[in-house]
Amino acid sequence: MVSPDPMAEIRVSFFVECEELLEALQDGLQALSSSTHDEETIHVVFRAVHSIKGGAAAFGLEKLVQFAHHFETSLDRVRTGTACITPDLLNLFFRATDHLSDLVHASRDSLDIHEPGMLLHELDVLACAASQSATHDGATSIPKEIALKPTETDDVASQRQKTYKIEFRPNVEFFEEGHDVVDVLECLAALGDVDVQCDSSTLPPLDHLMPTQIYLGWTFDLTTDVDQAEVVSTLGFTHGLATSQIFPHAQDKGCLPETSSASVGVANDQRIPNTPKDKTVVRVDLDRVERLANLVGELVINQAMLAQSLQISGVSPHSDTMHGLEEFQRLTRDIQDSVMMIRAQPVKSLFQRMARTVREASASIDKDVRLITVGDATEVDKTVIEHLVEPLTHMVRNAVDHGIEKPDERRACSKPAQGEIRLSAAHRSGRVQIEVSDDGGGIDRDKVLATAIKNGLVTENATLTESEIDALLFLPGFSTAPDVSDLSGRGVGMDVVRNAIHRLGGRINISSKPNAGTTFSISLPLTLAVLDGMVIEVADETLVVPLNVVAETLTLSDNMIEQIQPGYSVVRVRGTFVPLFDLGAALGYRPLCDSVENRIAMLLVLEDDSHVALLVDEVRDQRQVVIKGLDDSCHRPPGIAAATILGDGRVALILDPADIVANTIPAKAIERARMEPQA
Amino acid sequence: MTIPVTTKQKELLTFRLSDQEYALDIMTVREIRGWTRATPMPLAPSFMRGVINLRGTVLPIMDLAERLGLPEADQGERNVIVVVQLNGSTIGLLVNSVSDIITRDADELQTPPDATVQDDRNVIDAITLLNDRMIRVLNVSKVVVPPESDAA
Repeated sequence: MVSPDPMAEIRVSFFVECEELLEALQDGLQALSSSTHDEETIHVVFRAVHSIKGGAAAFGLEKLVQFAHHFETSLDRVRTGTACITPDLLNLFFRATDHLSDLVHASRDSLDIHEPGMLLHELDVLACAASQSATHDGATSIPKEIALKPTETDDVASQRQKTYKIEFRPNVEFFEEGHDVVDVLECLAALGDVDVQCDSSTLPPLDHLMPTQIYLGWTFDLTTDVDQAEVVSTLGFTHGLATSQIFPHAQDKGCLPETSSASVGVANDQRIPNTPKDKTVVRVDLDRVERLANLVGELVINQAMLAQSLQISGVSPHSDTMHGLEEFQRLTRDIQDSVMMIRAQPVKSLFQRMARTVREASASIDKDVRLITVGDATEVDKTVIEHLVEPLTHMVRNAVDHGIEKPDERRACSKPAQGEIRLSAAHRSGRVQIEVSDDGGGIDRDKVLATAIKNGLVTENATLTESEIDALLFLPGFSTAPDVSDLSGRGVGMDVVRNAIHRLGGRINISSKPNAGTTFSISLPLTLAVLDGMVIEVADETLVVPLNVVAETLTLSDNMIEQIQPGYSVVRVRGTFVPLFDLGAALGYRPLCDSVENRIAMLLVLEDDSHVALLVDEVRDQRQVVIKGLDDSCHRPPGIAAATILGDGRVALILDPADIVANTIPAKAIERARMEPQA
Repeated sequence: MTIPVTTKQKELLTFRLSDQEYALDIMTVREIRGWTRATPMPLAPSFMRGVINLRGTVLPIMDLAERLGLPEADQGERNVIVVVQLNGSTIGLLVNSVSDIITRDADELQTPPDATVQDDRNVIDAITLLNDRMIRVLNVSKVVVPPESDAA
């Protein structure tokens, strides 16, 4: 793909830069919508848009330039202090950012894009209106918005005693993290005199009261000589844990509240630094990183080979050679970890995309939803992140559409009208755990069961446990939404999400409580480059089974086996019949075994919770293996996922148990085994 | 089925496959290496010998004699793997022994008689003579047919 355009290369790097600028823009707007911004923030935001405009002009991207220009103009009004930041304005800026990002992508891929239309108009009008209202209030009442440049009046004013009205409403997390409202009061009391009022208006009658919900809010009247920024920073520890609004006293009327928790955008539990960190970054071609990762993979294999041959040659384990080898092993592991870290990226960019999804989804169906993200800095392999975009978007949309109830329904259940979706990421025992939870109505299990029966997925008189009913959601073509909305329910269901997660070697689980919400948790491997596997032997061939599906190993005896039909047997494991199949025969290494006496079976739990037993010859050990892809010319059969290279330099194949089962055992047999009552 | 006229001369690697002599364009050859035991690929066609470790990448091995339907020659010490690269994918061809590298002008390469040029199974591009022995010039891309592309 050689482009004759000499600008092509610069163009590519411009679009890479745009991505970074858009991210900075998002960050800045988020900071503006929370209390963690300072006067620099608005400049950062402004510069980002300006740089995109400048670059776009150089490449003659007319549409992009035009839109960026309007955006820039309205931002400039805020920057120069002629307009106040209001939630409405921020909302507009967020939408403008979304459109700007669409434009950038469309320009990059030379696609057409819908006209901004109203958005452009709104940008102009709202910015103008804001500037007008500010001028009407007169020069002295220019709001002391800390996004503004400090003016003379600020300095004079700060000498005087001022009164602030602080409305404080803690979230559940505030208490979960061990804070107390008394702490807030004490902090404020240290600044000056405080009057406290408790707002119990949302307190429901006793029989509706949920002990884990927060119904109370407080209003503090603070008289102090410190300025607003200091009050904000005093309450900094409550950021993301509470909604607090700080109004300067009535004499400063016309100024807009300082919102310390995002009502427009994303409230972030991790504090955004006031000034963007100046990290030195090197932009590296992904191919080079890939190559480095491959080389390290080889190094690991090589080192294993060396260890093996030294052992065979009978070198004493206490010799210097062996000590040196141990050191070598440790270094190799360190290098491997470091290389994996190069490929790792924080999930922040992914979560930012979800913020947009929430904004768009909630706007289109008139629900008020805010997104809370936790653990943005959690790092995951780049490829994993790329493959997560689609399933996660789907889940977030589902949460907005099906999970969160309509505002009036929420009020009827004495919940705040604003729904909440929580996205969290964390490292947990060598895997990464991503959770999408909503505080909506939870899964309507009766409806799920009814739909499943209607679609013939379960029999009418089947009794299913709650978690079994929840798991029905993952069956293909399942949708409980009564009406197909624009957002979801078009047949692309959770089964697609689950398949996508499985392809990444992950697992997905649902938990749900009526009226309290639903949580989807996804557990993923940190990287797609290595795998924890069980090394087994079948008919003198070495194979690797992914460890995450292995439940236990059993030594068989002939009386544990029942033949159902020739070539299809089941093994009895604690009262349950599990289909057994001979791996050697399934892979065509040898004919079916006649006797299983004293042979080993591995009990596997597949992703759809079905159990199968795999007849193998020997279980060797458990180790991390480097995954090597198999290309088409290898004639990769179903059931084989990839390959790896063992310590002796030989290639071992990595099994895909679900695939091999699907291609070997008649599907009905598995179905029957699953429906078998579990003892 | 013509040999490109633009390339005046062609260098060919000649090798033996169960008593017959074959050749292939040296430009497709990446390397030649000794035989190591391949890990068999389950349920693959019988001419696929499996995969081996080629400096950290997994290389599929095709038994060329079996692929061409030739009688199986005994697995001797001189069996080698010719690693060829085609359209971005790399594959190892198991041959009985590598003989020589010869240079041929385009007009020394004869198109095989029409009778053999009927269908896709024809894998011989040209024939040429070397010391009165006939050498068959293989069209490697026709030999290496990827499996039916449903393995997405």
